[in-house]
Amino acid sequence: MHGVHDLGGVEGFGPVVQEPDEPVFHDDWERVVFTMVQTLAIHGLFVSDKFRYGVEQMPAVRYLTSTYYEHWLFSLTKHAIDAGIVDADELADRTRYYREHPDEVVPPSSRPELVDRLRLMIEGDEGSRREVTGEARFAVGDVVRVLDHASVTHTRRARYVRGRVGTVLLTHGAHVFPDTSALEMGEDPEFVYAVEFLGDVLWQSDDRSANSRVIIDLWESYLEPVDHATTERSRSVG
Amino acid sequence: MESLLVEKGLLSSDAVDLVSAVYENAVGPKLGAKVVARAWTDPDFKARLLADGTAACRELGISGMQGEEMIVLENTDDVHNMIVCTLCSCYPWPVLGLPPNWYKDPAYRSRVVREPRRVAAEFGLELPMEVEIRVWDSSAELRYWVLPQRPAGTDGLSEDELAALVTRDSMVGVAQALATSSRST
Repeated sequence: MHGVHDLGGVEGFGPVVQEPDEPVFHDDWERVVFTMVQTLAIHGLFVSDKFRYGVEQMPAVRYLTSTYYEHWLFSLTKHAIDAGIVDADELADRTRYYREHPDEVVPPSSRPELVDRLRLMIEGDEGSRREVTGEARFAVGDVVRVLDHASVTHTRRARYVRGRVGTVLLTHGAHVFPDTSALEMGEDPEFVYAVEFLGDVLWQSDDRSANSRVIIDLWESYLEPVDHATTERSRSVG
Repeated sequence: MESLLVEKGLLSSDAVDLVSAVYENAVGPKLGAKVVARAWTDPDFKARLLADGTAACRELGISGMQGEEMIVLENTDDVHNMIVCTLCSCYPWPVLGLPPNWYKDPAYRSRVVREPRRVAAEFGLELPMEVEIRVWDSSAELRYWVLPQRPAGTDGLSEDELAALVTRDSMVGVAQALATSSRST
């Protein structure tokens, strides 16, 4: 979707702010949010594409003014309520209770089976690669253009490469298609390519992007073939 | 939410403890540094690492969630690689651990594809104009990370000593590996 999460090339965010000796989690609740996302995924509430789509539906101003784990909390809460795992009123009541009793903590609990499944998940799963019978449409060196229309739902077709012409640099085999997976409309695996774009093609030719390239992974249906004559024209336009 | 999910059997404090043990202790950039140091000292391993990052890391017992398929990018005198996820915060957890906030914040995600030299300079990394910068935007489930150049003057160092020179930032591409003693970036 054409949302604020799609940040590549957006101007105005100022310097990158580093934190010396940054901890992995900045507060206990971040550790809990991280864990909840994993255990709810184990429960089957979402796959990563659906979870990311949940983050993208956060109101734009809140997205830009909140932290990473607040994004995660938003998505997991949305999905838990949508699926009926948690009732919105029940959640509001419980949240109010803990606000009114700030010293109270959730008592320790043990679920060995859940811990075992979490351990398996952390060890890694099959990933997103799938075997497909068809052949890849593009090969390394092919010149391609990224389709330009905006998506209204989840996509990994980043705005800054839409309509731009690049060259296939690597082929990655077929992978789950995020645009359908996020909507629970099927994995519909497609070939994925690392496509290289010259800085001068993506941006105006200026010192800021001089002698740089961006490589981004794109699914086959995001791309259309381009003949080389068109490419040269596009490059000269910038 | 925490308390409700615990009641419903969908969360437990020992699950949180496992996350803490893994991502606050066991898994972090030290693992990636171990892989880099091995690549610096063993050309055959380096060739395998660049050909199939996932399999080579598994040789050292390193694998896991968000690293099911890893691609390692070699920095050279002519090419400098950097990684980003402009759409969310994809990052190779098994070798680098969980990402720092700056990697997830809008400033880095928006700017590194647009003006990589300026971003690198903010980290103290000056990249000459003749060095080609390749910024890898991890938009799929492939996880890219950087094999930094081995610093000069490190010929006599052991693998463990070399690993100590490999920082998280050098494997993201916003820094070089540390020089033996003089620099501390």
